[in-house]
Amino acid sequence: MKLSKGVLGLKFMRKTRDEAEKVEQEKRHRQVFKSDVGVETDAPSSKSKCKVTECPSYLQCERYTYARQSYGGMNPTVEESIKKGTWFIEYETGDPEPSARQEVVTKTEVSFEEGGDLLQPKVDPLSSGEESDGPVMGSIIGTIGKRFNRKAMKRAHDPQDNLDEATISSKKRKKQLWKRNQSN
Amino acid sequence: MLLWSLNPKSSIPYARGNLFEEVKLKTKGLKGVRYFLKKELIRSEDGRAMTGLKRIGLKLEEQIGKLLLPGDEFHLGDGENVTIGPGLKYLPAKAGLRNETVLVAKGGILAKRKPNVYFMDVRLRTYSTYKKDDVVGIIKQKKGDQYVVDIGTRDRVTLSKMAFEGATKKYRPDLKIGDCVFGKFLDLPPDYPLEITCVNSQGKAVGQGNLSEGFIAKVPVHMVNTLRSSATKGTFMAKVGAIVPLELVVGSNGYVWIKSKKVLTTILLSQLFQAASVQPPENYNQLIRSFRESVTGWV
Repeated sequence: MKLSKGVLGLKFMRKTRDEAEKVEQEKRHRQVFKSDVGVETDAPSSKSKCKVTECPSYLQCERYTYARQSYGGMNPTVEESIKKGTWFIEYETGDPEPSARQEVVTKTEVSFEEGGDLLQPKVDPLSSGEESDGPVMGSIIGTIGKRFNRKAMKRAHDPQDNLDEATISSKKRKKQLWKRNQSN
Repeated sequence: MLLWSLNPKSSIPYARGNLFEEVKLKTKGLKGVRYFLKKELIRSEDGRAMTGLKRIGLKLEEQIGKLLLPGDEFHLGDGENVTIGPGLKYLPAKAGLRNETVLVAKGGILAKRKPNVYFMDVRLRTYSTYKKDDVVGIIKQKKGDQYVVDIGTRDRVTLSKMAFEGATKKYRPDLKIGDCVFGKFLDLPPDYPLEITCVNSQGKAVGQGNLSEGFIAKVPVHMVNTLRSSATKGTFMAKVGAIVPLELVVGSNGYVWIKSKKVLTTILLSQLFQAASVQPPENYNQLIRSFRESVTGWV
């Protein structure tokens, strides 16, 4: 909506007036640059059908290996993490071989299961675990989660609380609680 | 590298030869020297005869592996979808002036990578920065919450003390002047001062950060291609790594951090990289062989 000059001239319309002026100024500025002989605007015309993307980096074009390399067991952690695919370059123009990356990921999952590490809980891919979404927040989530786990464990080990709640009627439960309080 | 085929002694003919007609003009100079003038045969699309050495209307696919000079122009067809790398510049169509063109900005050999990535293979000594490039640098100054790092470019870049894995306001890494760091450029808008970081987008170090011990060698930027080749077999580094156990970080800026078990091997490795940077790839095997001979016995 375009407001008239008279309305914009009012004292309380100062903010709107400034904004409108800014837009107009930008418009004029663009026109000046377009008409200037020396300066070319590189904005593609609407008629162009071909799609050209510029990427002036050899790293992005050549698909290099990871910058840190190790040979002959000099630094085993470097060799392992590159082999597993945990260290990789973040390319702009998409992943070079997404299928290869997927293979690596599935292989590590299989080896984790084969190892039979039963103490480790299975990670739900949808939950915000350390591997999926928030690796920075992962540790914090873990520490807070421990608190709840500890409570759950206590409850599981306590023989008095271990009774199935569904099978006991509310009257019986009240009785039990009353008895326990008396004994204490 | 392809550019070595430009050697006049090699059997590959001069790329531009077939496109020009040699018109011999006999002119008598002071000492009776004959001058030769080359006249271009190509005509532009609207029929204008082009004079000089500038070539227009080239096709990208036809020129792969050939020498191109700055000013040469490619014409893009309708619906063509390409990515252009360093050494090429895109000029969008302008009514009555030109069609969709790609201009050669740096002289070299045109290379293609899958899928539809074209760039100029140029021998370079200077590094031009680009976002997300990984670089090796040396800390030159401490400035409040930042380090000032030299990466071999004209301007020094900054590195925040918080840009390390696990760094908080209370616990920060204490690096000294002269320490070596490996990081990558932040993706900042144009005209911002350059800044590097030692963590990835997920807050992990992934091998970045302070590089203790070791030695920094400076190699030309085109040598990075050899040292970081992603070929599956028979790469330069795989051959060298089979002789001596070593660890290295190759920055896109041409700074190479090398670490091996002995100081002498580290020095020899840096000499090998520098020797290889001025040799054609055909001579790499010979260089590696001589390196093996010099190393055997005390490794």
